[in-house]
Amino acid sequence: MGINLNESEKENKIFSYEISNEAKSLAEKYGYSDYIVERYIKLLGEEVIDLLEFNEIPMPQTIRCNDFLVSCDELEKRLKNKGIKIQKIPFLPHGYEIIESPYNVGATHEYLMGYYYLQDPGSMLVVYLMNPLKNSFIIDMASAPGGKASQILQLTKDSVKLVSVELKKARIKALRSNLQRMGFSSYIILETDARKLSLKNSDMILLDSPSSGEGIIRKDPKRKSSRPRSDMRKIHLLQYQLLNKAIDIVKPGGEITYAACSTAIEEGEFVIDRVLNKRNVDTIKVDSPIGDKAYEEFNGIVFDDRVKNCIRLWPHKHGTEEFFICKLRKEEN
Amino acid sequence: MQAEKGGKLVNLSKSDLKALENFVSQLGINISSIATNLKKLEIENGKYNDIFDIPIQLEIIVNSLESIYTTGFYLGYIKNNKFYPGLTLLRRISRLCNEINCIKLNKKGEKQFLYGKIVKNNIISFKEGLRVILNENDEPIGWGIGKVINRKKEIKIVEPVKDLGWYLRRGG
Repeated sequence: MGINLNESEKENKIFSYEISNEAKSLAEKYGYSDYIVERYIKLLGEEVIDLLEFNEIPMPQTIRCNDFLVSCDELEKRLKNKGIKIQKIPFLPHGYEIIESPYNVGATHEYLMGYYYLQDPGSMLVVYLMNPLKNSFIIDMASAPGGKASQILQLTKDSVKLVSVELKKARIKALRSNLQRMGFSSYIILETDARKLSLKNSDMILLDSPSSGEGIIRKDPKRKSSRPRSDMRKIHLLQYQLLNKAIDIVKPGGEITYAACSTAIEEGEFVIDRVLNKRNVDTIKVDSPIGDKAYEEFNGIVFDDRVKNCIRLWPHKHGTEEFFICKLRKEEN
Repeated sequence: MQAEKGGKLVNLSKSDLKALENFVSQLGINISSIATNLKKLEIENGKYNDIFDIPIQLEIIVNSLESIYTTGFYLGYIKNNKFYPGLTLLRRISRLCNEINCIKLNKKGEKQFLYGKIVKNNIISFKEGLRVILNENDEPIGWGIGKVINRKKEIKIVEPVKDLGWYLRRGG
């Protein structure tokens, strides 16, 4: 049952939960930071072993066919002729899994021609759920390396006014290169901190927030233990500030899609709970072909019940990377 | 080469337009075949200017911004009054290959070209000068210079200027 706690007591229960001996022992066995495993135990119970075992299986490569430049049938044919075996991902209209390839799929002629983009399935799903509308004004607040930005442009046939924002110099070149390679032109790239944006009244916002990166442990096992626990507060604060900025700059009635490549409560439900309590926004039920409902409670903290409209992706259940995805609408007044 | 920091979009000067005209006339086309809303990115102390064709729907937002990193359809850059075409421009110009002269390579030639090598044989159709290079499927794969290297005019080569492999080598 939930208890009525003040903000700082709530934060303590979210960020400073005790670590059980079971978590310590599993963390040692699988090579994780213990606070991550304790959180998994709190969220999944006995299922935690399924997740830890599944995370040992490397993530397959997946691609998104760019039907702005080539039909997906044609791409399938061309890759097949090269000896690359691919399989359609049922819940992703342009998504394929690479089953076998004699080549590096990030260096084929088709890749260079912009006919596909290497993108993980959860990341693709975020943009389908966002459902970007043609001719709309969209801001992608943390855009590099451009997977989701190029998908927005693809799904809207390059008709939107897309502002892609990226702070990191090292990543912004890849963003530019990817959008150009894939044949798009209806975008503006800004090198800035999205918290300082002066734009207003966008129709839609995508905030694929900078995160702990716990969601891609299958791709990068270093993520099991690369972040000290103290980072979680900083990451949460950044996500909260970015989401507040998104609410400031979206038009009344406009939509924000918030995503974090993680299943940490600190980066998902708790961020949404805080904005629901303080800002004039509501959640929109995410109608996803895969995913679990977000958690309504964690470690005795009961979240705003509208959080249940958000979803989570789990590797062992959905075959994707870990993700938290939520859609918000700014209220008219 | 593309800018490493943000700048402001401005109209092209007369000398910029002249540089662009010199380039398109080499190919036998007009500026209007490749762009309708030309702008250049002006950067403080910049040594060159990126040139763009800006989609009309972006104009109001672009004009409201103090500094942008890049935008719109990238055409290339101008340095010392000379225009250097970008890879993105290939797609626009390759649509005109039926009317203008492009160079076409076979599969082996395509591979050599994309590795940044000079192509000697393996040329299906040829024209001297700076040209769009196509593969067997008529897909553009880069900019190259067609050269005849002997007096009898029988040895033809294609020197790569910029090929799609750039996206892997330098694209970031």
